[in-house]
Amino acid sequence: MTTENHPIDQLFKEKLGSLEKNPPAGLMDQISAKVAFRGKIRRMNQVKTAIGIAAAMLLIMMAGWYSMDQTRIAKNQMPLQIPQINTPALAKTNQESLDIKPTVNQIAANQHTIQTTPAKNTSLQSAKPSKSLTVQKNKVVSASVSDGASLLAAQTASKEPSKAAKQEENTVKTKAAEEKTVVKEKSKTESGSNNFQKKNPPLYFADAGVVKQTPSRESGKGNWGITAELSPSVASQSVSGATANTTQQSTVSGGMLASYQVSKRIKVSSGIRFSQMKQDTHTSYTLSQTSGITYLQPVDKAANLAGDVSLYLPAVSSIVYSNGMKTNPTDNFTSDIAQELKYLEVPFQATYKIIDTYLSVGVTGGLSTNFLVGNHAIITQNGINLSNGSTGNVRDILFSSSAGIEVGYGLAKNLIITIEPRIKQYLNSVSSNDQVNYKPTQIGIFTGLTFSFN
Amino acid sequence: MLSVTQLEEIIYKCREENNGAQTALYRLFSSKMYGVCLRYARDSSEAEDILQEGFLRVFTKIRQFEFKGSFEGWMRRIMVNTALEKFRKNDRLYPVEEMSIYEATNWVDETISSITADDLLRIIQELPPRYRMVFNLYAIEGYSHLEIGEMMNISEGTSKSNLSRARIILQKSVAENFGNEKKLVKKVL
Repeated sequence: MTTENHPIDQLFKEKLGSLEKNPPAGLMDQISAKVAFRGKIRRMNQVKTAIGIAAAMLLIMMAGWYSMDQTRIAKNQMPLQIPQINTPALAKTNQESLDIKPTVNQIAANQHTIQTTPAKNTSLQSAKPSKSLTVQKNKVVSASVSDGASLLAAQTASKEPSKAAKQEENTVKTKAAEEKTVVKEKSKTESGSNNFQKKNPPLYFADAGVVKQTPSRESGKGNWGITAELSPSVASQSVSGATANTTQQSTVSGGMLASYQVSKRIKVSSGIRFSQMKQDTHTSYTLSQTSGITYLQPVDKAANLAGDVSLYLPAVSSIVYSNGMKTNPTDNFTSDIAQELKYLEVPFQATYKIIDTYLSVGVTGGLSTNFLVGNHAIITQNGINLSNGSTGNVRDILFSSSAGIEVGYGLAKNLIITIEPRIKQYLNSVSSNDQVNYKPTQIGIFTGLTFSFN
Repeated sequence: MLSVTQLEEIIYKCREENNGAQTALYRLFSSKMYGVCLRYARDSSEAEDILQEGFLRVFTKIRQFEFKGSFEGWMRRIMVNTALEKFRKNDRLYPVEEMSIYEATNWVDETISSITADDLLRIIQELPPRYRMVFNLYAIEGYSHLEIGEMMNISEGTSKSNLSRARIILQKSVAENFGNEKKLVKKVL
């Protein structure tokens, strides 16, 4: 601090430096009232912040639960069952099968055999109960212990294995040994991974989707915000002429969006969102094979909502069930098919606030581009998984429009929680097959948490 | 006269949001703080607003007082800062006025003694806000131009210029009302 000896400065400092004046009466009462009011506001803000944190944690936990649930469902869809076989030799073979790969057990549990070639079966069955192992890159690995009709066929085959058959058998054994080694190593790795996971529990992050939602009381121009949102979604189909029994499954979608407050009432937002379509269909298919891939083509095209189904099986001459029934490629094949399509959505949407107070209400609308990132189909019959595959003729990019009503409540100065019932309509057909016109409508209730930067 | 211990007791109770202690603290310092506020305000109404907001801050931030230095000085800084914030919110550009300055004023003891604090208060409140702020901070509070520049978000040169202009206006007002010799020397923009 510094001073300067100026007569004006000195005059004012002398006279006003220690000036004392009594303030008007009643001012302290006003101060006391304001102190009490601010105390209440502060406590309310603390409660709101706590609620906001709890809501954010709930969103994260839901996403984590969903992620875990998906893993569990995937495992349940491939039950490992070992058929009851009394023959010691068969039991031994089954044990070997167990060591080879879980898929072996799966197929065994399904109690059907995919017969690759008669020569293979003959050669294997001559040495011991037949075991066939076929590896198809990236698609299906099947190995099965034949029973029923196939086992009977093996017993009637030649007891003297040919040289080629022996060579084939050796090849199979080598492959089995290799597989066994790989499985053991994988098991060790997984065991190590489990130990690591025990020490470091996995973290689950919410599938976020951001919708910029500036708190209504801070709805100034030029504010940026970020929102995480999560929603259960249900879909309805709009397929004409469908005769199949199709059930839409509920899914969860969510994402993160960044938004910008263009004006007091208008904001625009964009980001990335994860969405899914799931459906179970019971209908008839015809089998066909091309380049080693078996295709199931629905008899009623419109019934298969997302198009044809491709099963990546080795070249099959027939599908044989445990009861000995065979299905030829030319036969109609009736089964249940579960289809799942996953998309990453890039939305561009705008929100107009009708009511702009602590409790804000606005209408939202926008367009999205959806990129296919996951395609999975499971064929089941009588609850048994027959094979995994994917849905064919699915477009990689879909366009959709959405509209909703957003209700927001400010939890804190920069934090707002929103609930938005939203309807989403796909604008082009999911399938590129001309005979399948599938443009689903999805409805979801999005719960979001927005943090605004201002 | 309040002892240091008694004041500390009141401060501790104020930290616990004790209404009685808050009232006691207000009674102890309100007149001094109101005097500060009056110097920075354009009128008594604005001074009351500053005082009210200042005391609210004192009560909410009193936990931050670490009993280092004078409590009165700490309160005074809060009042000054509150006044500065109010000034920043309401800051407007004032047109540069043509003013006359007096090269020399013969201050005699009689003249000085006849000027009351209320007179000077009225004169200082008539200053443009920016000049009033700078003059108060420099001449009465004792801040340097560098400090004032940081506090008011202006340059050191601007602070000096504002002080100079404030002095000119004050000198003119005092001379017109109380001076015994008036000599117009030049005009500046």
